[in-house]
Amino acid sequence: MPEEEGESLIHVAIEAEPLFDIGPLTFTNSMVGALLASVLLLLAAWYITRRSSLIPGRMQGALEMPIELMAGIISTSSSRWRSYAALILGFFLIILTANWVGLLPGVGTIGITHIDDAGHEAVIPLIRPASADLNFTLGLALIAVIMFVYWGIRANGGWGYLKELLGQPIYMAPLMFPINLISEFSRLISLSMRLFGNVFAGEVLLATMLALTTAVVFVLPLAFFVPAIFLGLELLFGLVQAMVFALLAMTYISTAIAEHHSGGHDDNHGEGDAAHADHPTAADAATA
Amino acid sequence: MLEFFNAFQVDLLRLVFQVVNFLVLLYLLNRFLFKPVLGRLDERSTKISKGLEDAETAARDRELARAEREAAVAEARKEANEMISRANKIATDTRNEILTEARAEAEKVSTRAREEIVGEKDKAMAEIRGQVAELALAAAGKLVRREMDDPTQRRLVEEFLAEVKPSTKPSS
Repeated sequence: MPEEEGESLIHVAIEAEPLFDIGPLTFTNSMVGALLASVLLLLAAWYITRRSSLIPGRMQGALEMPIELMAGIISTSSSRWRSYAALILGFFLIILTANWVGLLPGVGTIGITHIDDAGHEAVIPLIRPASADLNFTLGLALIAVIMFVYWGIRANGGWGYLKELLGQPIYMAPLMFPINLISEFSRLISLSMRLFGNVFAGEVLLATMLALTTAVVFVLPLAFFVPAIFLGLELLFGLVQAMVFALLAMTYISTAIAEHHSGGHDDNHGEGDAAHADHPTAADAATA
Repeated sequence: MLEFFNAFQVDLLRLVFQVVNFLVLLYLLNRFLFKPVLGRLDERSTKISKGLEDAETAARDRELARAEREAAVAEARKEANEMISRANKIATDTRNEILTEARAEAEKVSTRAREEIVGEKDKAMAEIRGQVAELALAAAGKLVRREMDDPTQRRLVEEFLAEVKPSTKPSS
C-alpha cells in the first residue's frame, strides 16, 4: 500500500479549514459546526417550551434532564448561583452539542474536494465539530475569564480584586502578583486547550480507527464494530469535557464571588488545572 | 505567542464570530429555555414537596380517623356489654325476688294451714274432753248410782282428766 494513501486516510487538519469568504471573514467548517450546534439547541429549546407541561413527557424529560442535572450542581456552588447559572448552562449545552455534532454521520466525511497547491487532492469536510477549533474554545474561555474577573471585581470591588492579585503579606507582592496574574491567565489557556485537545484528539482517534479498520480488506468487517466502540467512548468524553469546562467556569466564578471569605488559595486551582494534560474526569472537576 | 496562535489558525474575526454566536445563542437560550425550564423546575419541586406534605397530612388524618373509629367501636362494644350485663342482673334480681316472694307466700300458706290444723285439733280435743267428761260423769253416776251434777264433783272429774291428759298425749 502506498504511504501517501495511508496519510490521506488519516487526514485530520489541526485547524479549521476555510470553506468560503464573506467579506473579510473566512467562513470555516467549524463555524458551520458551531451554527449547527446552535440551531440544534434552539430547536430543542423550541421543542421543550412549545408544549411544556409541569408533568414532563418522555421527550421533554429527556431534553430537560441535562439542564436539571447541571442546575442541580450549579445550585450547590453558591447562594448567588441564579446570576451565573445561565452562563454555565450555556457553556455546558453548547459544548455538549458541539462535541456530539462531531459524532453525527457525515460530519467530517462529507465535504468539498479541494486540490491544494502541491496537487494533492483532499476532502475538506463541510462540518467540523466546533470544539475541535481553537477559535471556538478560546472564545468560550475568554468569556469565562472575563466573567469571573467581572464577578471578582463586582464582589470585592476593583481595589479588592487587585489586592487578591497582590497576595496577602503586601511585601510578597512582587513575587505573588506575577504568579497570580499567570494563574488567572493560565485558566484561559487550560480551559481552551483542554477542550480543544480532547475533542481534536477524539476526532483523530475516530479517523485513525476508521483508517486502521478500512486499510486492508481482510479486517474490513471490523470497520463496523471498532469505530462504534470509540464513538461510544467519544459520546462519554464529549459529555465529560462539556461538564469539565462548565463546572470549572462555575468554580472560578463562585470562588471569585466568595473570595473575601476564603481568599488566597484559588491560585492552586489554576496550576492544578494547567497540570491536567488529558481527559480529566468529572471527579477532578468537582475537586477543582 | 503569535506563532502559537497561527499554528492553530486563531484568527480574530473567527474568534469574534464564535464569541458572538455563543452570546446570541446564550441570550436566546436564557430567554426561551433556561428561564422557563428553571422556573418550571422550581414549580415542580415546590409542587412535589407540597404533594408529599399533603400525602403525609392525609396519612396522619387517616390514622387519626382510624383510631377514632376504633375508639368509637370499642366504646359501643363496651356499652353494649354493659347493657347486656345490666339486663342480666335485672333478670336475675327479678327472678330471685319472684322466687323469694313465692317462697314466702308458700310459707305463709303452710303456716296458716298448720295453725288452722292445730286450732281444729285443739277445738276437737276440747270437744272430746268435754264429751269424755260428760261420759265419765254419766258413767261414774251409773256406777255410783247417784247423780253427780253438783259443781264439786264435776270439778273433781275435770281435775282427773287434766291429770290424765299428759299420759294420754304420748299415746295419741
